[in-house]
Amino acid sequence: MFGDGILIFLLIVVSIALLSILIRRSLREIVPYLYLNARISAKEGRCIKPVELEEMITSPSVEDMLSVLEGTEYGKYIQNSLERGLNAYFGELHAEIFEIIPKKVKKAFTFLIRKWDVYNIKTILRCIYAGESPPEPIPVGEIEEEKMREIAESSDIEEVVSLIKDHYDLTQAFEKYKNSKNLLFLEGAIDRIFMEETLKKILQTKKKELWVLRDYFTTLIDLTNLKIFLRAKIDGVKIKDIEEFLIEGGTISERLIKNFDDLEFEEIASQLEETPYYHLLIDNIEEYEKAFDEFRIRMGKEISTTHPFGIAPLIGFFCKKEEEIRNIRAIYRAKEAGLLPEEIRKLVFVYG
Amino acid sequence: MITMGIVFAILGAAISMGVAAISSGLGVGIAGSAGAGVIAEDPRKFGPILVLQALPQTQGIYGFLGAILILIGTGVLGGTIAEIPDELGLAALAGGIVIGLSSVTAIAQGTIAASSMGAVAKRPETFGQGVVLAVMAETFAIFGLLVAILIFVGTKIM
Repeated sequence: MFGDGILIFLLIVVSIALLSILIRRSLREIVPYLYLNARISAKEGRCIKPVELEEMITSPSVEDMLSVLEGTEYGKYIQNSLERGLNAYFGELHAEIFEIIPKKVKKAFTFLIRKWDVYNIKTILRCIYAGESPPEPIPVGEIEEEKMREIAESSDIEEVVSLIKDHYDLTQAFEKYKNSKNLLFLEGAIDRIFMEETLKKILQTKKKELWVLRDYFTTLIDLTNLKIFLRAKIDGVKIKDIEEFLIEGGTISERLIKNFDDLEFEEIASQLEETPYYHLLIDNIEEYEKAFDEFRIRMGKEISTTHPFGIAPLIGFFCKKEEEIRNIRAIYRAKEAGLLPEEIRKLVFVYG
Repeated sequence: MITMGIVFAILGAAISMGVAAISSGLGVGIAGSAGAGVIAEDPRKFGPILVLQALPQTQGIYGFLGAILILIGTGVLGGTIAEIPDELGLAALAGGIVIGLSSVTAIAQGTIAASSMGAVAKRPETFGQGVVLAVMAETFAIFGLLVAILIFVGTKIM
């Protein structure tokens, strides 16, 4: 019996060891994100509620709208200037989240914030092109705040191109810009470098929890390409003239490139059957750009609810924040322009 | 004299309490990490967070109860260790294993509680639903305890 006893004891020990390995594996992808995700959820709980948004929309004046906003998280930031306050809030929010994010996904976080570098650079380029002084850059992104300010102070486009060379090599696009004076060459090149490089880095990663970023960026690429196709069709531009602006890595370009020149604007949707963009385009053919933006926000939300642990809730949260800030700006400008509430409602997207 | 029967029974008690303690500790730890995140943003939510964090502790209590039942039933706790046949010792061991394994549900419960904390942070009105969802995982731990008690009663350990 003693021998049997030892055998039973060993069996129990082995079983417990196997169970521990299984548990450890299943927890490995959850535990590092618990604190972060809980804070994100709590922050989401403090986002502007639809009731507050409606209050801002129906407020009789800009001052009244701002006083509603003062009762929210933005209150302490907007005392002197709404624009600067929103930027400061957004910058602080990113810095705070960067502090608490697990080390192993800090790099992935930079993938998400690089879009603000792109946004800032494109804004600076457009302002210089139009002979206006650029607004203060949004203090978020991979490029340091100081450096971005330096870029914003550039006297001409060539200086911008040389200052961002380490991050975005626009040499070829700049040559084309010089010959054509068409800013699209530079803007398209920045978008392409950003999205293609980011997707490449995501695809190289072996971290399973970052796969969700792959889906998100693939959708971003698809929506950007689709906008290029649709704008080109409206302007009557041929495929050979837009091919260099198309971003690699999406799921829809191949079929559209093949048939593009033979298609009418309304027929583009027919090439997207079996993709999520088919109904999106069919139902919103008049206002497709707004519908695409809303689709991206909704996708962020979907990702965050289907992957409750990991980096996905961050994607959803930032989509929501981005939209919230866009709504605040839209309402503020609409109030300044004296638009009626029913007109303002059309500019606002209420994130569910 | 300590027989193999007694050794099996003690092993059963050890597994019942040991595995339950580890599982409950992990469950509470998982829920606690999320709870700390919510409280860092909104300290007023401490009440509902505490309730959700406490839920995975119950499996630890079941493990403790199972261990005590085995130790009393075999006389180890009373100081009068009976001559326990090996078969009876194995039955006590089986009871302990059932309680220990079913207490692993505390880890899943901790994960559910952590998710529910996130939901409560976003929408405080979901607290009740969050508790119900987390309690679902508890059911299996209760079944485990029940089966163990049936084993103990059926084999006259208690």
